[in-house]
Amino acid sequence: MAININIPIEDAVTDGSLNPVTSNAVFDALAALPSTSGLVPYTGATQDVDLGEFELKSGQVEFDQTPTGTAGVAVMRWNDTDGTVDLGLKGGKVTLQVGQEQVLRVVNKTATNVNLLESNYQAVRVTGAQGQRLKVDLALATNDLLSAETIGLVTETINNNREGFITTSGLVRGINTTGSLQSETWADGDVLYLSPTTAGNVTKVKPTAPNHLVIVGYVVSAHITQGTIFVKVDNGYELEELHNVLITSVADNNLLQYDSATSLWKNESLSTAGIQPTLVSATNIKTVNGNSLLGSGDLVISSGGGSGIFGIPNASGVYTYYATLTLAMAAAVSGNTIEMFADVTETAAVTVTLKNGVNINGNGHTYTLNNSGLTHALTVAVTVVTSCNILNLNVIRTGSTGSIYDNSCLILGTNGSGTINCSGSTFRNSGSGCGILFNTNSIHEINYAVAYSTSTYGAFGIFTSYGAKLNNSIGYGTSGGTGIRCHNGGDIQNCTGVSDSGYGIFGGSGNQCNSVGISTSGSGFYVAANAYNCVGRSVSGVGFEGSSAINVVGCVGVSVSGIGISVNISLLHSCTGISSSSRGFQLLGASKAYNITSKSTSSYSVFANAATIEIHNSNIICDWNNAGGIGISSNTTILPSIILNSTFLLANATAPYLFNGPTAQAVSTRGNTYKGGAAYSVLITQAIVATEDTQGNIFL
Amino acid sequence: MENITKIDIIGTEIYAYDELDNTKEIYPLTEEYDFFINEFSDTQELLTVNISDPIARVMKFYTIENSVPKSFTELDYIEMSKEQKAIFDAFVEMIKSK
Repeated sequence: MAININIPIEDAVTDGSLNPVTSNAVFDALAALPSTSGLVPYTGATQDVDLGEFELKSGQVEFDQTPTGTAGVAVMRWNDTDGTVDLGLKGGKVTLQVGQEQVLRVVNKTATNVNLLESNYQAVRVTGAQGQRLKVDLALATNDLLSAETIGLVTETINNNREGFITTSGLVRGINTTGSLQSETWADGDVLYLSPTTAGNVTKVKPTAPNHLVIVGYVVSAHITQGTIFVKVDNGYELEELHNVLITSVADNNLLQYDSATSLWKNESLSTAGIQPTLVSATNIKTVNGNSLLGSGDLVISSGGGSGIFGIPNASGVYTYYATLTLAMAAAVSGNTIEMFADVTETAAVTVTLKNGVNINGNGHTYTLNNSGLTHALTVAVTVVTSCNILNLNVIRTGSTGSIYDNSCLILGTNGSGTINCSGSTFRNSGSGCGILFNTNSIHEINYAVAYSTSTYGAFGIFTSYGAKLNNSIGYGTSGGTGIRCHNGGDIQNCTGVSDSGYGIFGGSGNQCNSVGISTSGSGFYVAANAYNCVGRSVSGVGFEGSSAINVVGCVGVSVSGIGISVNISLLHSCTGISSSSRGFQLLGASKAYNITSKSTSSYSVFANAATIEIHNSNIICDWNNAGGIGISSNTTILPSIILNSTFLLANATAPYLFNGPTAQAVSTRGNTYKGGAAYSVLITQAIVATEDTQGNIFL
Repeated sequence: MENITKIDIIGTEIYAYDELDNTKEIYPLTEEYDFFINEFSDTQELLTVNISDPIARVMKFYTIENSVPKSFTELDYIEMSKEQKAIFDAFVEMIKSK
C-alpha cells in the first residue's frame, strides 16, 4: 500500500538542511494513518465485507463451493447438491435453484378464500391480475374454465389475499409424494394429472373425457417427507383449438369434414356432409329378402328356416334359406342353384333326390350321411332325365356295412339319363358301398368327379349294359377296393383308377379310352372288351391284364415284379409290356399280338404257351444277361405257331430266341430279325412249307 | 397256396402269386418271418422271391417311381450260401403251407 505524507517546506528546511525539530511531523502524519486491520486483503479475509450501498463490480464472481454461512432471503450461494446457485427469495420460505426451476410470485384470490398450502402443493390456475401480480385460484379438471389456465403448483403456503410463490416449471421439494394425500400410491416416474374430483389436487389416474387431461408434472422421488415433483404443465387442447380445425356454430350430430379449398377440418351437418341422416324409402335404401331396412324392430329374413345352411338365390341374388338339403331340393325348380353355407351331417335315413336342372354348390362344405341302414346319400330318380351340376361339394357316406348297392354317396337310377358335372366335388364312401354307382341300365354321364371306396365294386361302379359314361374322373379304391369298375358296360374316358391291392381300373365290359389304372399289388388295368390308349401300372401285380378282350389298342402295361401285359384269348394292337423281373408279355389262349413291344429286364421277354397264339411285327427285347434271357418261351409246352416279321434283341449269347423245352414243334417263322441270342431250341423246326409266288405272296 | 410262382414283400404285407392263373393271397409280415427278413431284407421298397420262374432267386428293388425301379439287386439261388438256401427254402415252404 502506498502512503503519501505532506510536510511544509518551511518547516522542513531552514538552512539548507533538515530541521531536526520540525521533522517530527513525519511521524505525526504516520501516526494519523488508519489501522490496516480493517482492510480487505486479496485472499484470506477474516470477516464479512459490507460495502453498504456500494456496488460490487467484478469481471466474474466465483462462489465458494462449500459455503458455511447461513442461507436466507436475498442470499445467493453455491448449492452443491443440485449443482447450481441458490437464491433465497422473499419471505424466506422459497429458495430458487438458478436455472433449474422457475417460480412466480402470485396473489391468492381463491373464490372460497382458502389458504394455499405448501404441504398440499396445490395446482392453481390464473384467474386474472391484481397489484402487478397474477391472481390464482385452485384448478380442477372438470371443464375448460377450471383447467385451461392451470399454471403451476404452490411451493409455499400463501394465505388468502396474500402474495407468495408458486412453481411453474422445475422441482418442488420436501413434500409428501407417496400419493397418500390423494388416497393413491405413487412411484418414481409416475405422471401426475390435474384431478377432476378435488380442486387443486393432482392424481396419477389419467382423466378421461368429458374431464380434461391436464398433465401437471412427474414424480421425481416418491417419499413421505422429502418427496420431489417436477412441474411441467401441459393443458392440452380442445378440438377447436387445433390450428387446422375450424369449428363454427357447432351443433348435435355434426361431424368433422376436410375442406381441401381451405386446408381446414370443419364441422358440418350430416346433410351438408352428404350423409343420409335418416333412412328414407327409395333413397339409396336396399331391402333384404324384400324387407325394408326402414322402421323399427328386428329385421325379418323371410321365407325359410333359420339355420341358413342351404340357400337358393332368386334372380336378384336374394336368398331364401332352408335348414336341410331335402327342404331346399323340394323348393328348388329347374335353373336354381342350392348354395351350401356349412357342413351338414344327417344321421337319419335321409336320401335326397336330385332334380333336373337344379344345381348344388357346396362351396367346399361337406354333406355327410352317417347311417347304418341301406340308404343312399344322393339319388337320381329312375327312368327320368336328370342333368345338373354338383360343384365344390364333399359327399360322405359312412356308417353302413350293408349291400354295396344300397349305400352309395350317389346312385344313378335305373333307366335314367342325363349329364351331371361334378367339378370340385368328391364322393367318399367309408362304409361298404360305392362312391358313385351307375345302377342297372342307367345311361348317365358323370364328369369331373373324384370318388373313394373300399368296395371291390369300385369308387365308381358302373353296372350298366351300355351307354353310361364316366369322363375326366378319378376313383380311389382302398383296402382292396377298386378304383373304377365297368362291371357290365360303361365307357370311361380320361379317367384314372387307383387301388392299393385291388384293380386300378376293372374294365369288365364297355370301352375304356385314354385312361390309367394303377395298383400296388393288384392289376393296374383289366380289360375284357375294348381298351384304347390306356395304361396299366403295378408294383407287384400285373400291369395290364386282359381276358377275351376284343380290342386292346395302343395300351401299355408296366410292372416291377409282375407281368407287364398278361392276356388270354385277346387281340392286341400296338401295345407295350414292360417288367423289371417278370416277362413283358404273357400271351395265353388264342391271343393274337400285332405290333407289340415286350421288354423284360431280368426274365424272359414273352411267355406264350399255345399254338393258337400268333405274334406279328413285334419287338421282343430281353435285357437279362442270363441263359434264361429267352425271347419267347413256353417253358415246357407249346409255342405260338406263327411268329412273323418280328425283331428279337437279347442280351445273352446263349439265350435262345425261341424256347419250348424238350417239346418238338414246327413254328411258322418268317421275316424275323435276330440279334444277341442263340438260335432256337433244337426241337423247333420251320413250319412254313409254301414258297412265295411271283408277287412275293406266301400262304401259311 | 400251393402253386406259387412269386412272393413279394411290400411294407408289412406278403403277396403270394400264381402268375399263370393270376391269383394272389395276402399275408401280414409277422415276426415269424424274421429269420428270412433278417437275412435278405434291407432298405428296398419291394423284395421279390422268384420260386422257379424264370429261376429261383431273391430280387430287391429300390426307389420305385411309376412302376419302374431306379435300381435293383439280384441274388440267384445257386449263388446263395448253404445257410441262405436253407432260409430261402424254409420261407417258401411256409408261404406254400398257408
